[in-house]
Amino acid sequence: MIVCPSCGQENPDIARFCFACATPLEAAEAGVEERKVVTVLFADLVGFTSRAETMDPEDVRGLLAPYHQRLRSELERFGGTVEKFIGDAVVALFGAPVAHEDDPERAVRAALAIRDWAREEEGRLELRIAVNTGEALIALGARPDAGEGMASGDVVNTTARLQSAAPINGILVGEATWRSTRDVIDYEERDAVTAKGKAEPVRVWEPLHAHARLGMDLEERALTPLVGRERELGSLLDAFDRVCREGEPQLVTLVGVPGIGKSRLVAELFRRLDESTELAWWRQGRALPYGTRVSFWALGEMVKAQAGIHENDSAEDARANLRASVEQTVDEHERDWVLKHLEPLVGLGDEVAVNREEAFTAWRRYLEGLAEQHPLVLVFEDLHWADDGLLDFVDHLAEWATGAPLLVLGTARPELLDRRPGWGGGKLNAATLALSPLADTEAALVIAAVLDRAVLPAETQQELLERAGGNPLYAEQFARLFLERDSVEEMPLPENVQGIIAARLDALSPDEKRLLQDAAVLGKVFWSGGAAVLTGLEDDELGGVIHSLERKGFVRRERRSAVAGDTELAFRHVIVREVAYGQVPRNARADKHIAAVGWLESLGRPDDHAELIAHHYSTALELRGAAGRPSMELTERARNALRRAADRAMVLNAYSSAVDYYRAALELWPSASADRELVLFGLARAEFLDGQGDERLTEAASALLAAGRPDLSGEALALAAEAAWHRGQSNEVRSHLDRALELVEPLRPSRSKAWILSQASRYAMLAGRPAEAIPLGRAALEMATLLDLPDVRVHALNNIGVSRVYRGELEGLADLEAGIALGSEINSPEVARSVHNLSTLKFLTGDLERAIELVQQAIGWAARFGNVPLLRFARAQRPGSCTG
Amino acid sequence: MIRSARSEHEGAREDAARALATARSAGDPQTLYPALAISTVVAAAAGDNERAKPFALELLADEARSPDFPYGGPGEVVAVLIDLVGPEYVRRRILMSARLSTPWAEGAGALFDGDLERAAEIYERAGAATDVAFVRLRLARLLIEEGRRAEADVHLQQALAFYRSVGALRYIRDGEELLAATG
Repeated sequence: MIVCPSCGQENPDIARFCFACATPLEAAEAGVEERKVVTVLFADLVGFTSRAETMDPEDVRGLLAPYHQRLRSELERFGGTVEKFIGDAVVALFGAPVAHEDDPERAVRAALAIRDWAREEEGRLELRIAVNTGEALIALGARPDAGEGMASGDVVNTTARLQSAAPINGILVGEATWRSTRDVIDYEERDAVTAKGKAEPVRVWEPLHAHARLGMDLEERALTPLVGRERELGSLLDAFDRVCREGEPQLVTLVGVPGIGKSRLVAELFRRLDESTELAWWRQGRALPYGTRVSFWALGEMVKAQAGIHENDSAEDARANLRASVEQTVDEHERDWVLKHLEPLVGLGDEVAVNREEAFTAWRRYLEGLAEQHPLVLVFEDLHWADDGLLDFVDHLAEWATGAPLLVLGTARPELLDRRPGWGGGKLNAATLALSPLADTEAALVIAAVLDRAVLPAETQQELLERAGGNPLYAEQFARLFLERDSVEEMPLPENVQGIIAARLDALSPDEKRLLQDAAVLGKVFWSGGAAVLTGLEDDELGGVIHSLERKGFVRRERRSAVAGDTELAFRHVIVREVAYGQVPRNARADKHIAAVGWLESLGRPDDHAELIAHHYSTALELRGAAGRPSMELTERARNALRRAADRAMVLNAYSSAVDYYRAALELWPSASADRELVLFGLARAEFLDGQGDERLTEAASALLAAGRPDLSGEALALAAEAAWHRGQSNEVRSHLDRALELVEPLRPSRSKAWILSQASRYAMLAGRPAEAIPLGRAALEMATLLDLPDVRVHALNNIGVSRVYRGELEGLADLEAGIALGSEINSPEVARSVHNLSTLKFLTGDLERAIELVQQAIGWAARFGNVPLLRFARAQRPGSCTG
Repeated sequence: MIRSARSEHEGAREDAARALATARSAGDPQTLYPALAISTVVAAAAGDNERAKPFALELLADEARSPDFPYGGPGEVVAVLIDLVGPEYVRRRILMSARLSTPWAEGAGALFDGDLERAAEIYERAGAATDVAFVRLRLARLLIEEGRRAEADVHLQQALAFYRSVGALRYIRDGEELLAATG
């Protein structure tokens, strides 16, 4: 079976063009795999094995053939794929090879149909059935009818275990299935099943009944408040007013991605009209997704509702009701003609219409007749799933209906405009309203309504808003999930949101889907060049695919690109990226991450991309490891990339990021390998500067000394001295610094030596020994000037300046000012300390206003550079009485 | 301390309490000591020695934790500590352990000795205007008590000039009271 990427029609394998819309079809390539969330149905005959033992093989086959046929028929009716028959057992998949947004519901409905059939057989057929939802690896090119397995994963095994525990002629479903269908199926929870190989008993529910699916009315569930759609609602009310005032039809189509609020807006319009004193008729029908498509289904629903025909009415009753409705609506001379054309819509009559335009005219006449009695609103939901005939009829209605107050309101996803680019175009009485994502402030109102509280911790709210991405359905679903979990940490995708997105991805063309999956590897923001490398698409093909994905609302083109010559794009919704990313099997994903590095390196300036490269390498390594394919070469590349990223973060004073990168690099660094001590020192320094402790500094000092790096060992000790000073351990300060000075004393001028001298100057100043601090500081300053080390100069000037003031030389203030000017110029974190010290000295010398001003500046600098110790110190002093 | 000098006692008390809470949560003695010093001075300035003394004792409690005040501490802090717990205790706890060689340390030594005139000269030399004014005000009070009004007036006028320039209401009021007494 090949599902049309454009309209969703299921076509036989031999089809090369879609039977419904003629889009070219491509079969999945053999060997291509994808991770998918699928719902597995497992059914098995009770006691068949022992019965078959005494039967002739031909009798066994004779018994099973009709059983298999019936099962296949029921499963496929609901859009399932029979993966395999194993004797009397059947395994079916919903969601593979192609996902529908309601796969769990379809699977449970199929299970209920099979159960009901077994019960009708009254003892001649006994079955146990289980349904379970989870992630599986899907072989997209597998041919189940040729016995090729399609799905593998724990979900398949667990379903088999649940099936064994199911009651005779009963069904058990697992938690994920239950959670995503509990609004449409009535369940009772059963005792948890202890399944082989499972650490914990598996919670199960037994489905009892399904709610009516093909209803014609509005959803009855409690609605969240309508948020951020006032303008669109106003347009709909205006259109209705105009229809009533002018007595002419209007076609309005609401277009937007799933969950964006189309149905909610329609429901609000209904509520407003319902509250009005003027009577209007409201008829609503829904086009059904593939697998259950019936031509003109939505129109049939409307006619049935108007005529009072129920699904279980006899043909005679249905015919009588329809006739009565026509008699009340249509002029006498046209009644039989209209009736003849309406009958097929409600499942009566088998006369094939020879002229479609005639049928359209007859249907229109009936609807015009209704509108003449009361203003009529016809709502066609989900027009993107409608058959071409229905789309043509809606078009016809808007074009030809006259003299009747008729509002034709359609809802559709952007895919409709792919099928019908000119939808509604060229008509004065047609309009299309595109629903865009809600602003964060609006989405926050949806979340607050679900949670029933207006205020959330800022981080929680931000996380929920980010996940929602302005989509009210997602906002509602994530808020509900938060209510259940009371945490936003590692929040999974709600099953129904996952299903909606997976189904949308599966409805894309293979190139479009591949591009999204590959782009997802690159990140939420990606560039056309990277996408070209990963997908292998040529420029012109790529442009077309990107354009199509933009139109369908998957990606957004940024106005400026950070990569010259490439288009910068971003996923419109972060969770679309997550689902697309999650579909790529781990090995393939690892390869794509490595390919992404290749593209990044081709851009040049590797320092600029160090963190991205580290991310791709380490993710690739993790994926390879999880897939049991660790690689020494990849490990080495990953650890080097992580180290470069850490060094880069340190250059940018991003200490917290540097800690993460150094830590990850160190984990991958063999203990006896070269440069390990340097990575260890990097981590120790980053941890200290980020306020995460200093325990690693002395370990790093020893490792560096052992590796023949006394200069760096001295640096580590000088940092350890600083840590000791913060703890108030002056003896340790002194001993670390003495040892550091001893280590660098015989060495030639170097950065390390200059910095250690300056640190020694600082602590002599802090210890109230300005006579010692000043010459040390001047030695450091001289060396830093010689070696062109402006950051060390800033540090030294700070210490010299403060020490001079302590000695009563107010000229020291000028040293400090000079250090601050230089530090500001080179963006040195040392500026924070210099400014704070100047504040203190200004306080002491009586310039109080300036002292207050400076301490605020010092807090700003410390916060900017993440200098936690100084930030605490300055906040506790403002304005201070101490230097630091 | 600035708000305290401006007679904004309530605001100064809140600032000091917030500073002390921040310093305690930092878990860093080098941050805590100055915050304790500020709390001591602010409470004493508000006339609440009962509250000031525990801060002073906590500040001076650990003999080994020098340097408490890297340069010897502002003259006002040293003077208030002396008022609260006596010069010998402060001397032993702060200066002797730190062996400082700064004008502030020297100034503090003069304060311990009760030689306010020398302290003022030392602070003057160091350019420590706040400390100079503080010591001159104290010195003026002492001289008035000793009946040396003319000498007191010189110090008083200099101290008031500084305090008026920075809007230190509390000290201005103290100084003007003394001025009235000298007249």
